[in-house]
Amino acid sequence: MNRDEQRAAEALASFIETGEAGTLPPPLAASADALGAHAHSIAPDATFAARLEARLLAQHAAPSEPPRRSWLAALFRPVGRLAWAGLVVLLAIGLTLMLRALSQGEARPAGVSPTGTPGEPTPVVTLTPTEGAATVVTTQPAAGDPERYPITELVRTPALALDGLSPDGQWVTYWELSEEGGMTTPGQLVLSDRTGTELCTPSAALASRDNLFEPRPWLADGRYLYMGEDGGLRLLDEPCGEPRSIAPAGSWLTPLAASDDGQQLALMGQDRLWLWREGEAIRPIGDEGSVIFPGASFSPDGRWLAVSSGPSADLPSTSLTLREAATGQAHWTHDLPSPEPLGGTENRPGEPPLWLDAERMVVTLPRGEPLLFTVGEGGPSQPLSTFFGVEARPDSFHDIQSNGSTLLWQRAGEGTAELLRYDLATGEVMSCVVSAENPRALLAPTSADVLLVDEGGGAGRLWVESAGGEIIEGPAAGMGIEAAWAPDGRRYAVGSSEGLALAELDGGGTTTVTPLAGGWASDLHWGADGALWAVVRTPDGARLLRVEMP
Amino acid sequence: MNRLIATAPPDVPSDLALARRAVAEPAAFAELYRRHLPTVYRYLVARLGHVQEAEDLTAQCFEAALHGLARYDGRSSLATWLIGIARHKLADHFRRARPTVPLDEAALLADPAPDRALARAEVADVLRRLPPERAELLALRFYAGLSVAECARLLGRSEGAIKMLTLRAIQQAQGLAARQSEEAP
Repeated sequence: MNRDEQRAAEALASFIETGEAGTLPPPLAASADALGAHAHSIAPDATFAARLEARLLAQHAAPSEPPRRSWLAALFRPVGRLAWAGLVVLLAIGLTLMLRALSQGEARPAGVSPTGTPGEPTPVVTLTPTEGAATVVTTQPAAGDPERYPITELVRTPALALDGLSPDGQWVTYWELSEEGGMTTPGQLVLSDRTGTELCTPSAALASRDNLFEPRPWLADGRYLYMGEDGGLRLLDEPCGEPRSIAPAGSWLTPLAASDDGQQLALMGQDRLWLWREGEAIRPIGDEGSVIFPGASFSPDGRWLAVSSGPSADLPSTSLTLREAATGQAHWTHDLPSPEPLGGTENRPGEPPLWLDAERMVVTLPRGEPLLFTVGEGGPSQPLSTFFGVEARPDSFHDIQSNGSTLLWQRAGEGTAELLRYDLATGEVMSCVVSAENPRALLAPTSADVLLVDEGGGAGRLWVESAGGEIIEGPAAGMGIEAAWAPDGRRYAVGSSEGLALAELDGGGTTTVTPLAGGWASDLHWGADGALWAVVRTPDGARLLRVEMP
Repeated sequence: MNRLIATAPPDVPSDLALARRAVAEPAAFAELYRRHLPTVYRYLVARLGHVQEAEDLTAQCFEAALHGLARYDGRSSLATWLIGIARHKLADHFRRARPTVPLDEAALLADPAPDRALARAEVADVLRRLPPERAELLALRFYAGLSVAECARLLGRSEGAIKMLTLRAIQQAQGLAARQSEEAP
């Protein structure tokens, strides 16, 4: 890329936005005009537009169907509960037998076995599939007292969105949104302490809200990272303090990952990776053009940086590189062909490798089975579906979660999704009994408990299946459910169109508190101090709330 | 040049306000639908080059939006949110139906001809022959009317990279058109 090309790119971007040709070469301006004119010439057929509108409105106006009751939902009905409990036990036995059959190898992919054979991928891990037994005990919640949970309203404004909490829960950043001219605009970013008394607005220096990125802007050591309007990357060492530049103006480096101690960042810019370490100058690693659509993550001990790059339709492989974080040197690289070619238009960002511990990570390929890698030798790799058959690939990366002791895997089944839990220490595998047509599952941070959210059938339902197989019904919820485990894993919050609710798991039962606050609740964040933060929207505006736990 | 960036008078309800109401009010949803149908449809026509397929995916996109509207929280513009849904639908579409243009053909046609402007009549054909990443970017910028920042977020690239890729995509489109006109009898 030379300077003339860079100038032409800027002039073209300006021309598209403003119509001012400036220094743009006439042929380029004419081509951009031709594209714009062609776009303008396309309009949906009026009959199609009207029919589709009628169809959508008919769907919208249709009376809400009652929740599609799974066999599990029926379990909670008082009538016939004993009979259904019997059925549950039978199904659990069935699942156990299915798992056993799978583990005996009938459904394994050809050429892969737990022991390995010459010329084939050799297993390097010790996950041993054994079946766990689910003891199904259902528990219905008791009602809690909202008065036990003091609520502080920090902000009330027409529209706002929670940006993040500092790791210690003492500081919060939120966006006051503006709604003008039919558009929602970022407004300003506000940084506040937990009482709302100390405020500053660093947003004057922010490029835009769209430039906020993963990882979350609050680093693990309590510093705040943001991109300035000049494309430079800045760090607030102290909340509301003086910003420190860590990447120069015009660099437009996008952070991809931060180490668990907040002292290292992996960044992306101009088709190559960059590395920043506290106390050192930011520097490029690897070759220019060496990464395409990368995902990156640091090992929990910060020693390694794993980078998954690509693929796209014209570069169909995912490349996985393990780099030593201190030097940026590549330790090993694997080229992982996509199991299926991507469609003609697809570009899939590389998924950040999911670290299970300091030695092991899971890498997900587009439309492929996840692979387990160890840092020691790099390869060979072992498809996790060794244990579950080739159909076991997840629908997306987010269907695999780990909390360091348990790996949760969600896979599509016939009519329902199936959830499997692996004990990373013992290798025990257990299928969850709870399921639904299209659930979302959240693994608890401190145990193998799984929270399931099901919004099928027009209403929301929640359950927790504990590590021991106990099933605990959650609070009533409306639409647009957002749920979040508390850091201690003994309670969780639920936001939805029905307000903010809380469920306390207390050794065999649960207490639900609903609504803690009325309105449409979302943006749930738990602070390290145990307080819950949320945004609740009502026709009067949006409120930022902090809820203290007893 | 022709621009697809729409502005609304101040008394028109914002997308976010309409979206909140639209969860419960069919009329509000209808208003959102009418606002954004052209954007979604144009983008899909540009990517698919086929009206019937574009209509099918447009319908799927708005049905998904209807069912998922409760989760829209205004963090991105509604147009970006809808285009995100449309991109997922496209991915599913191409997963089932392989691309009609061989990828190696598109890859071979990489020489730009920056001195020869693209004519409007050539655009549809050239879009089908561009490498997918570049066709996608042009569709997002010109047909969906997304900003550089919105494209950067959707495509996982820096804003500088988006500007440069847009330039190169148009240069390559010019080259494709020039080559085609030379080869025409």
